[in-house]
This record gives sequence, structure tokens and C-alpha cells, in this order.
Amino acid sequence: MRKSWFSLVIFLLALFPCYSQSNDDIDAFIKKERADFGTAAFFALTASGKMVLEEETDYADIEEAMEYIKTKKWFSKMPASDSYISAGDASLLMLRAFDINGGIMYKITKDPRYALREMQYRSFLSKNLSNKSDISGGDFLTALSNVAIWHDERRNK
Amino acid sequence: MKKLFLTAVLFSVLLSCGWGIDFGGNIENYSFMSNEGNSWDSDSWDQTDKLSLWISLISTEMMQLKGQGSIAYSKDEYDFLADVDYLYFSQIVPFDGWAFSYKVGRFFQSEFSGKVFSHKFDGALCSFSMPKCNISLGGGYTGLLTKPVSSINNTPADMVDDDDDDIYFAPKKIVALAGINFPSFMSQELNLSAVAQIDLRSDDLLEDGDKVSAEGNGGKLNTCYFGGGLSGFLSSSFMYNAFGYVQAGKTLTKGETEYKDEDIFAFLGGGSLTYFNSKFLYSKVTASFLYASGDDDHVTVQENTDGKSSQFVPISESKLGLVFSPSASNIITAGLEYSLKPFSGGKAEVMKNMQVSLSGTSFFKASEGAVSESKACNTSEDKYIGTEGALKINFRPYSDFGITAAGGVFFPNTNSDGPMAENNRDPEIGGMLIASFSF
Repeated sequence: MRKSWFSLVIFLLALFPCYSQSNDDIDAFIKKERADFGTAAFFALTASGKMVLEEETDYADIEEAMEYIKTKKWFSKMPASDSYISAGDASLLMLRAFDINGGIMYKITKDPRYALREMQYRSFLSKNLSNKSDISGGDFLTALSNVAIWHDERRNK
Repeated sequence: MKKLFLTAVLFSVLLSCGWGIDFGGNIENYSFMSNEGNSWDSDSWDQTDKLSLWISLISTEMMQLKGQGSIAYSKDEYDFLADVDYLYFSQIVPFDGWAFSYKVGRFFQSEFSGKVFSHKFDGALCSFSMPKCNISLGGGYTGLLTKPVSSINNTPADMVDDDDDDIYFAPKKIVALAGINFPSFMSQELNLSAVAQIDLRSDDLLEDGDKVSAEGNGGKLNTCYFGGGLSGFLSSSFMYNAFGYVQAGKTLTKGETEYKDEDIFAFLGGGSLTYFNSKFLYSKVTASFLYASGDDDHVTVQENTDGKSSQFVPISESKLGLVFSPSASNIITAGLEYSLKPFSGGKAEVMKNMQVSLSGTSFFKASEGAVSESKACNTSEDKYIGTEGALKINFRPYSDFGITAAGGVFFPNTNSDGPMAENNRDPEIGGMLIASFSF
């Protein structure tokens, strides 16, 4: 597990080349047993290119990520930045950030439940997670890196 | 009402303990048409429609309670059937460097090949996942499953019950499984397996020593199976799979004057070689082979009439074809299949997952004895039964909606001295459509 997280850190550092604090922040996020919404949103938006880092980042970037999501109305009820993110919300965040088309039910409802089903169908997240399950920082970043690699491969075909 | 109340209490307790809940459903339609008997009429097609609803409760301690109930309509086999498809509790307990997991309830289980036992049962399974190998041990009872969802009919009494509309449940058998899986044994995957079935039936059965004039529905069948399989890559484009099973046990045999329990010693073997080319539309060519031993003295797959039996009889049936579909008993098959994803290089996202396959399979009897398809009932030295050609399209445009369509033609052996019955020597056409939507 540690080996795969090490590869993940390398991958994420490649995603965030301008972010000098990346290593410490990614390391801290990976250690979280329950990932927080704000940091997860920040990583998802940066990895997908929806948010571009131009200078050394600080907490303000998380606020920027939250503002972006709020403006786009991705969530019917906007979660707080420091609240724990559920597997369903994490899935919705990643599908939205990478503009991934989901199934018919996801297209109709844009509900976290069906976003999670899509992530599980594509083997990005474990089938042992339910919509409201907590997700750890490590699991969130593993899923995020898998989505980013998959998205990149499809774009380059 | 009391059961409903207790279930509601259980759910409330689990939810208050922080368990996550999820639920959903599935609608599925299965249709099959064939000109069996060389005619197209209302009996030529079968249709099953099924609505299933599932619920899943998951805890943070890797515990899970999952269940699915369904209601199905079948034009041919039954009108409406309400059933519990699965209902089990499972947990994964991680330790330093290995994990222990268990599952209790009704669930689907299979040995590694799926050719001996691949079925639901009510029972328990425990697994030990270690760095170099995975060990699993389990067992279950099949007598609480409903008959339409069971494919376990391997004794004469099972066959009689299958035709009796007043019997609702599957044959009473205990099935025990043990398996060891080595995921990277010299860069290949090695599986070893032992399976046993114990026949618990006690009604209307004959026994060793009964006179041939005695009335009854055959005897018990107690068997065990020991097998192994190896699979892996030969190169980056070629992969293979090979397996074999030995069956041992006892079967009641009808002698000249009396019934006698005789030993069974039978064999099942098979394998496939696949060439895969992802650069050319995900092309895949697979050559496959299967041998299931037979016995000249078997008048049906289940009934031996002389001496020891060498007829391989699996616990659950696995169909080997679309139009002509015998189970793995007294049969040799040789097949070739080519599949590709014709639109995988295109821009249309929904078309990328369409897979088209074209296949041909030839069937031979392994002995002069019976096969499970009654159309090939003649005793003959000519073992060739026929060849089936099939075209299959798998189309899953969305993760929650998929269609499988297949059509095939079976060209039987037309030789009058061949194994096919006289009225089954014309080509037979069949088509199948499965559509499913999850919500």
C-alpha cells in the first residue's frame, strides 16, 4: 500500500508542478482517515485543469475551489469546506471535474448515488463503498489519479 | 407483520451504528427463439422479465449486509416467481500482511473453472488472503432454492422432480468446496480445487440390493471432484487457460437382476488459447477445447446400466452452446471465436463498448452413451453430433444499460447412422436477446 501511495505522490507532484507545498499537503491529505471536502475539491479541480495554479498556493485556493463549485451548482446542497466528504460526493466531484459522461440515471439526476455507481463500474472506487460512506484521503487520491490517467489516455486516442 | 417489524428494527439499529445504506434495482428481459422441431409456433419462443431490488448496508469495519429480492415472469417455465436472489452478511478482517474474510447467507459460489459447480446456495464461505496464496473453504445447502432458478438435476429423482409442478424447491444437496489459488506461481496463476456433493434425498429412492422390478426414482449420487488449472500469458499477445478434474464417487447401477452401487471414475479437461491485439480494434481470437468423459452404458446422463461408471456428471449444468446446448457430460467440443470492438477507434463514446463476436463450435460424443441433449439420443459409432455457428453482439452504451443479442445455426450430423435422432437432422436456428437496465 505504501508503495502505491509513493507512486501516487510522484504522479500528483507531476500534476501540480507549480505547487511548492504539494509534497507536504498531499502527504497530510493521504494520512487523513476521512477526507475533507475542501481539499478534495481543490485536488480534483487542479488535477482536471479546471483550476490553474499560477503561484505558490495557500488556503485561499481551497476557497477558490469551493467558490468555483458553488458557481457551477454541482451540488444541490453545497457542503462545507471542512466537512467530511462522502464516497458519493467524491464521485460526483471527480465526474464533474473531468466532464465524464455517466449512465442514464446519472445523466437524468446528477445524483451522487449514480456518480458512485459510475466510478465503481469503471473500477475507480471499491464496490464496498456506499453513497454515504466516508472516504480516506489516500483512497480519494488513488481514485483521482486513476481517473486522471484514464481521462488522459482517452483524450490522446 | 412481525418479520417486517423485526427487519425494520434491525435496519434502524444498523443505521444508528453508522452503517451506510445504499439501494437500487434492475430490470431485465430475456427472450429466446428457436425452430426446434422444425416449426415456428408459440412454443418456439421463451421470454422472462425480471424486476429486482437490492439493498446494501456497509459499516466502516468492512462489514456488509447485502440482499436482493426479485419478481419474475416467464412465459414458458412459470407465470410469476418471487424469490430472494441473494442475502448475505460478509466481513473482511485485515491482519498484518494477510486478511481473513467470511460470508454467511445465500450467495453465488463457483469453483475456479465454473464447469463443475457454479451456482447459488445457502451456506458459508471463509477465505484467507495471503501474499502468495488465497485459501477458501465453504459449503452450502441447495434445497431451499426455488426450482426455476436451479440448474442442479443430476440424478433420475432430480429429473422426475423437475417435471413435477407440485414441487417448488431444488434438489436437497450439500455442496462443499475447498480451493487454493496461487496468483503468481512462476508468473502464472495456479488453482487447485476439491468439491464434494452429498445427496440428502431420502424419498422414493432405490438402494443397493433392490430388485430391478422394484419401483423408485433411481438412487443417490454422492460424488467428489479434484481438479487443477493453470492460466497466464505466454507472451504479451497470447494467453492460455488449461484445467482438469477427476470425479470419484458412487452411483446406483441397474444390473440384470438387482441394483448395485458402483464406483464412478470420470474426467473433465479443457483449455483455451487466446491471441489479443488491442491495436486492431481490440481483436481477440480464441481456440478452445473441452473433454468430458462418457460411458457406453449410460442410457441417460444420470443412469448407468452396467459396471463402473466413467460418465462425468457435473453438480450444476453449464450450457456449452446457444442453439445446441449440452452440459459438460459425455461431450467433446472444439471451438474457434473471433471478437472485436468495431467502433473502438471512433469518436462516438457510446459506441466504443460494442463488441461483436463470431464463433464456431463442433460437438462430438465422448462415448456411445447418452448426452444431456435428447436430440442426440442414438447409439452409434459415429461420434460427430454437429457444428454450431453463432454471431453475438454485446452493446453497453451506458454503465447502467446493456443489450446482448445473439443468433446461431446448428448444423447436425445428417448421417442416418449418426447420433442425431431421425427427426432432428435438419439445421436449427435460434436467437437470443437480453436487455438490462439498472437504477
